[in-house]
Amino acid sequence: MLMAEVGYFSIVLALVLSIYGMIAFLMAIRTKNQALLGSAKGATLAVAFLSTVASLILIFFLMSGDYSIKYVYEYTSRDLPGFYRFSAWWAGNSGSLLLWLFLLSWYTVVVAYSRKGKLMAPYASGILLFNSAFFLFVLAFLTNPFERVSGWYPGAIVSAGAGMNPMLQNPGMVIHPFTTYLGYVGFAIPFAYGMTALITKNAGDEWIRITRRWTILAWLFLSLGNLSGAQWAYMELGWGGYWGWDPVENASLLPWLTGTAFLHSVMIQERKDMLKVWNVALVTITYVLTLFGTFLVRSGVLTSVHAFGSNELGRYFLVFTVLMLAVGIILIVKRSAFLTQGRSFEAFLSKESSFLINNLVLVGLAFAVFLGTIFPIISEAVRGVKVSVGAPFFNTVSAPLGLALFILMGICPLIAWRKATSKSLLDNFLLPTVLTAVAILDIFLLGIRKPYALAGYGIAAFCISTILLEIIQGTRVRQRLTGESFLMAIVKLLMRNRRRHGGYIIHLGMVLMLTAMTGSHTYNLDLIKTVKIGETLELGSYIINYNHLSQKDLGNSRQAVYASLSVYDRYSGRLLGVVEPQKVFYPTSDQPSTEVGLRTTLKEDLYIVLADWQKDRSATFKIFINPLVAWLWIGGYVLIFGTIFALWPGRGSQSGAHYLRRQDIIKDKVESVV
Amino acid sequence: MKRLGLVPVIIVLFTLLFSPITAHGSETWETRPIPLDVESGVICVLDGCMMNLAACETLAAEKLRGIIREKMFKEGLNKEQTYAYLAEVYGDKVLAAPPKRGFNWVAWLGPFVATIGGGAFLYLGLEKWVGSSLREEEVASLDPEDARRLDEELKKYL
Repeated sequence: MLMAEVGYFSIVLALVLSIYGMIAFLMAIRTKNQALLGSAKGATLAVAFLSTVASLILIFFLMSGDYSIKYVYEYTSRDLPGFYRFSAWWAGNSGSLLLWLFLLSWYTVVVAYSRKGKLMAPYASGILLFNSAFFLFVLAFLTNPFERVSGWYPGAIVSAGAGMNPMLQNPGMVIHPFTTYLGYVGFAIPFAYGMTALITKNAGDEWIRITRRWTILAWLFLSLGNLSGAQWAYMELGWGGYWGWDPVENASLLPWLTGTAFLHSVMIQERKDMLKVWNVALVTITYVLTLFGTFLVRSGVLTSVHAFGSNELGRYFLVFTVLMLAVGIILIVKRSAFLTQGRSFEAFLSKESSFLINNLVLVGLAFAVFLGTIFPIISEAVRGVKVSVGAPFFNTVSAPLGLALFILMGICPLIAWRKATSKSLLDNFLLPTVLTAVAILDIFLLGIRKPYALAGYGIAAFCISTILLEIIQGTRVRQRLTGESFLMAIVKLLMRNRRRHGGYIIHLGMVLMLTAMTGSHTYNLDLIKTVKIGETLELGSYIINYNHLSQKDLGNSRQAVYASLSVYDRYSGRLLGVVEPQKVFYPTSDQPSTEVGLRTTLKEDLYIVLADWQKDRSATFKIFINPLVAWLWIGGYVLIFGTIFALWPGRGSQSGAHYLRRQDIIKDKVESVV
Repeated sequence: MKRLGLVPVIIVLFTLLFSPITAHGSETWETRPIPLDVESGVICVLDGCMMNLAACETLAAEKLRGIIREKMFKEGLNKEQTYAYLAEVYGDKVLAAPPKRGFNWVAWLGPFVATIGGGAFLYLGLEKWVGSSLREEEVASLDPEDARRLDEELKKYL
């Protein structure tokens, strides 16, 4: 079959067309030639079409099991279910780069044919095509997804594949990379428009308005990627935690943090025509960090459970990352004179300054994660000493900054724009502060004494009370003005400004996640013990009886050794359920994968790992009680819901600067009167 | 292909047959589980996988666990002494966090210094901005007509 050659030719042709498209966009802008502009737009469509052809051919090879293709051989096997065969598209280096290209090329088409910002779109499309050209170059000359196991057409016939890493054979690992890539690639759009604003000396907020949905969408997918990654780690790695601070996990957290800072700071530019340099810098950093993450995964400079290192590829990614950063910095420096502030801060105590501090802490947190991630390289370069930087470091360093961030999350909604007076502060924060004090006292009396737990729960209570207070105040104003019932007023209030209230829902989700993180880090219990059949283990409020150890066939040539454990309530003696932690053996891997036995409730997770077993069927179990973990996932879904709520089109989602400033004037007047 | 499918069965049988004969009743230092908080502070460096030992299940991880068991349960070292021994033999990279000494303080304190430094910069910047733009523009009250128009506007947007 010549399909592999067709696939490769599609990539090479797409590379040529992306270079043509870039040049055509530049020429069309200079000469104002509409025909050339149309041709350049056509080039974006052609690149997207060719990347789709290449992707479909690779998917066909993966699904049909043509093991003469090296990529198919390395990441699939005959026993692999179809679901995972498809997900093998992004299981390896070249496939995942092809996915990146596929997404980027279609995003570019949407931008090129966009009706919004017609003057900016050609520049942005050209920048995006430059990015596509880099990925196409990598695919064409460094990591060809259609490379045959032995040479070019027809190559050798290979009857079986090496198979997919068992750890990747989990639904979470199917969703996680795909959504993370959607997030990574999505940030290319605001970056391209940000650069366009600098190139065209467009000092307004047009680029921010055009890219607002793109930014939120990218942030949504990156959030989903991080959430599904955490779920995968929790269920698949078997160490009882959900975030291991692995370099690659950190790589997806970094753009999420700076992207979050960007989402907040653009509000200042929209409302106040300020922070223009900072916003362009933030979007540049965010996009560069997505490239940095890709570099980390592919360079092999840091070892990670998620990485597929290749020094040569890493070098090219590093050069491209540095190039994008350098272009961003040069443009920002050269154009800084155009990015003058429209208005200024009017007081230290204002919503604007609280947003600035929020940005400072978010970027500080991102810096902490970045420094920790690359510190092994720095240490080796400076001292010649290799060090590891793992969870104990990141937990210690990020906890205070994280808590500071949540305090700000509570403060921001209730602080006034322009200038907060001591009276308005007292009026707005008295009740939340009292409620927080009551909550802390309550949990203290319940026996929670650890400082971090008191701080975490107290801050969560503070945030929830300020969010609720803001919504209740708005509802009352609406009731007064319209005479609606409380329920109707609250629904209409939420719907009329979905952007703002979506933000509050996101905050609520984050607070639920804070509660879960606090509980699972401060009051978790663990036990590792070897027991014989019939013996019991005791941990927390559970008595766990070891029933038996057996083996079963899971199909697709997979065999599982599993332990059956009956879980009883220690105090009532009631049977709560049976859990079956297991080790799954794959024909293609020496190491079995872990499937944890999990009993989850809103209060806590009982998490059991079958660590080892002996000839006499005695077995070693790692048992964890992780309080409140279910709230981490619930909070994550609330966050996702809030983001979709804010994104949903129609009345209430509009955000133009004119609208915002008009509303701002009204709010300012209301505050002055009140 | 069917033969390939037998591989996991064979692995399971071999694991069951040839795993250590010692059992719970005759637990020795060699089979005693290592506390998880000890494992969490160690990186599996023996085969270069560099995963946290608590999450690592390779043969190299088992070997490292064996060394820790020997030090802790046979020789009676405590957690810190065991970590010190491991760092001496394998270097600081075996520890999950860089020891708080010398150059490593850059990692431990850098984020806080940077954030506080950024805060100071922000404070000075705000002082400049606020100082240069302070306005005494206060709206003391609204006349009834303005108040009515304000209510109309609010109805549109709230």
